[in-house]
Amino acid sequence: MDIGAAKMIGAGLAVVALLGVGIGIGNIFATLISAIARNPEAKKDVFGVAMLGFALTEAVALFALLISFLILFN
Amino acid sequence: MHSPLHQFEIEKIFNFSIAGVDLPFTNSALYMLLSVLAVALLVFSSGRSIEKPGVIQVFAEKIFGFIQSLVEENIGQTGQKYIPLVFSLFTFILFGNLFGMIPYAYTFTSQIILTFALALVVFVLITLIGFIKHGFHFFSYFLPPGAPIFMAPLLIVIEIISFLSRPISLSIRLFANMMAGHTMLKVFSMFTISLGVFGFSTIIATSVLIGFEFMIAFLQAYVFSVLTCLYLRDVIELH
Amino acid sequence: MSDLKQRIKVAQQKPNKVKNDPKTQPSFGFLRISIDLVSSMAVGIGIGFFIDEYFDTKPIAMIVGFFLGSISGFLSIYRLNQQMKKS
Repeated sequence: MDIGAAKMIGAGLAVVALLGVGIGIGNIFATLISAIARNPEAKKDVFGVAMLGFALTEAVALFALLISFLILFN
Repeated sequence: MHSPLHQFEIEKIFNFSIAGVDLPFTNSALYMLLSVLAVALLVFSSGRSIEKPGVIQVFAEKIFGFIQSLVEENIGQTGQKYIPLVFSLFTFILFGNLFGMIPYAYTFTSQIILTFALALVVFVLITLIGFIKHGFHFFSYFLPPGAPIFMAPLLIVIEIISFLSRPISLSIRLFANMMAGHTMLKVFSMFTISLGVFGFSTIIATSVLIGFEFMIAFLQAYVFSVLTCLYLRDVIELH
Repeated sequence: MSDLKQRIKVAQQKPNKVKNDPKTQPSFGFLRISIDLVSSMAVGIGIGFFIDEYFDTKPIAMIVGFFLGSISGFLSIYRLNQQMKKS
């Protein structure tokens, strides 16, 4: 196979990690909404932790993006 | 049909060279010039008249008040002299993002070299301010207070890495947000043609996304200036 | 006009109103946290890579740089979390 084509396929496969990231972010916000709905007073405490989890999940997406860029432009 | 990444290509408008060095005037430079002109218009129209302020004057003074409260909240009263810096950074990035939202226009903040240059300005500036304000005492910034002394070599290396990662994280945040947003808009609008009759659903989605992009354009300029303020406070106060 | 000057003078004599402590501003922490993590890791790996190129010690400095960079990324997350808790 041509090395350029293999690189493009590899870069495409590397961002499949976004599947898990999408599920994770959806999960976090679903849980956040239900937690706030159950106990609206806890909003302030829960929100910070949820944002932390959101950021950590997003970091996985950025890692996948970084790897795919490394594969493409190396 | 053009690819979604076609909008980020730099085109020469006219060629220009000084002493053999090629300095073409590109579409990126055109929009930068427009943005600088808009900032200059804001600056010159502010403070014109007290009795009858015009529309642009009110707008400029609103932005100025916003930046002033931002600087005072994040740096404190000593940060008054950094207001011009933060104001020009904020308005330059904001107008760059907003001009990019005009159809067929070019978004210069989607070029990593430009955002990296802006972040490098901030980085060099905070290092210089740290040295001017504290002299060689500035190096104590890299040792957190209350740390055990045998951990010092490890902690100093970690702090230096986190200090050096600042311009990279600043530039990549702005670049990635603008580029991802504009590519997403293009991809969604390409779906409109390929879906045929059901294209109206993507038209609705695209119009929602355009509003979202305007929010991102403002928010990224805001985050850039907030982080500039936070970094300035870090080197001014030294813990 | 003189009225305005007097008002400016009065406003200047007023003590500056005390803002809340700047250390406890949340300031959109969640927008910066993920990129901070990635970029400090990338800087650590990059420094390690250049040390490897210079001293010809191929994988060692890069691995050490990876660990130091990830520690520094997680440290920045920890600090932001402490700030968020305070506010």
